[in-house]
Amino acid sequence: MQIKNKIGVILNFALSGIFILLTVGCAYEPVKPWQRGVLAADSAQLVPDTLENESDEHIYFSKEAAKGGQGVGGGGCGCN
Amino acid sequence: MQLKHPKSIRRQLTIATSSLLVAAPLQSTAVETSADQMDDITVEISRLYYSEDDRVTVNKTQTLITNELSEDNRIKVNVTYDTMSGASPNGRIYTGGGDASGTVAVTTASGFSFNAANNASSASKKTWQTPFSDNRIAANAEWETSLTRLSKAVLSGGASFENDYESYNTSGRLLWDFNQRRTTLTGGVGYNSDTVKPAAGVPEGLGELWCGTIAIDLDWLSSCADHDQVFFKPANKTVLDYFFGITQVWNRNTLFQVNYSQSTESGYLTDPYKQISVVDPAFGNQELAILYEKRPDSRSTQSLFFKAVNVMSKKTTAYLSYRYFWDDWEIQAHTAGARFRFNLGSKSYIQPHFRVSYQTAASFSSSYISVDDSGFATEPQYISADHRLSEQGTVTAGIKYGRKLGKFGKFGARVEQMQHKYSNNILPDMKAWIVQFLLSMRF
Repeated sequence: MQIKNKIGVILNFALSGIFILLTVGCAYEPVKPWQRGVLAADSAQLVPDTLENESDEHIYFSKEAAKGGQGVGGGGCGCN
Repeated sequence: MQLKHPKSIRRQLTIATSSLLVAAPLQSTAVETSADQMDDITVEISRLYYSEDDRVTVNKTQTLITNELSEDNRIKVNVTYDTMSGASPNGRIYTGGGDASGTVAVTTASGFSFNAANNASSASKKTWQTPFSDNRIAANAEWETSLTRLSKAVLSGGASFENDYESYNTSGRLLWDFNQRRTTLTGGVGYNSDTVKPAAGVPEGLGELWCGTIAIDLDWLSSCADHDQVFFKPANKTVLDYFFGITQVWNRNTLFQVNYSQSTESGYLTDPYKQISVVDPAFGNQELAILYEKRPDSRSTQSLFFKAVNVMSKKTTAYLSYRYFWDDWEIQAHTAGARFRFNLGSKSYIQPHFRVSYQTAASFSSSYISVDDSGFATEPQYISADHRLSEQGTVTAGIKYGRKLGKFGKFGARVEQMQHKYSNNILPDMKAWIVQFLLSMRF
């Protein structure tokens, strides 16, 4: 229960930040193809570094019960 | 002349048209397409060091090669080599130090056996951990091809080998752009076939590993005093995944993705190395016996995943994610992550990372089996003291430094610390360090 409370506070803070950023700072705009130069950059990809992302996913998969969300398949392991 | 330099022509054309037509709409979690990535061969190398305080150490080396075969075809080959060693909590009651009350032959993940009594004779060694050492090699290949002007398919297959574990996987995804390519729908299916093959075989769930001298009345055990371990041949499990996602260009600075995933696991889902203690609470949770854990032979998991990229300014980009996970073992988990990239001039950047997660315990998660005054305990249908199935929270914080190398290379280094806090499982908190070096070159 203690963990739930502590982590819950941090999670609420994180989710509030996401909500504020997306609602206040990011109004919808039907952008045309020629207006997408900013999003074409390497740094603006959803996964800017594949190997970093894969490493993280493997670590979290090994240590937590939850998994996935970003795709399908992938190598299993008898992780300890 | 043109035939001799198809790469440079394609690169120029790609760069010229990228921001007009191609780049943003085809983005997805697994497949990124941008102008700068349209080169013939990209080689990425990663070296990762993972170390838990007094527990597990992992060295991971990865190489990813991406080859643009043509405008519409791309292949990726990913090879991973891991070395793992150290000691992992085995599920026995946490004592803080050695307290063996008998001789316990334990077969470890690396296939060798050790004696828990000897193991516990030194105060520096702990009976609640099992030492292990193993290597893992994995390879995965992926082929991406355009089907029409607005759609493409990605097919992949791979295998992973450890001393005591084999895994084969295949998957396919379809991506379809519409809404002036502002929106991409993705659907996918994946299949895993795994084999668990400990050196001594897979133990029977709730089979006895060790019994003490104090009589207990567990009539659901065959004969505790006989050390009646039952082992079977290697066991199999399969995993079938479904995945649906939508990627949306929200405005000229923001891109987001929402995915729904469903996964069905069946077969041998028990961890053959995890144990559970039978204890007597009347004598300070004295360990009376050690049994192997037992889990259900099926599991259905689901998740909703959200991720957004927001280019806040020329100097700052934010990456935000959240996942809600739930399964029929009654585990629910919330995971939120944030990265902020701050450009230091045109060539380098720093990127803090923050992640937090919380999960509830599986319905059959328990720290131990306790007997009553008459030494009796009811037989559980399923039970596991694996800390990964217990209630836990994690907090991860770190920082990355990245730098461009020449025109077509980049380098990255990061250090992070992950902290685990457990509740029901009565394990000490765990702290792990993650250090990773990344190098990417295009040819």
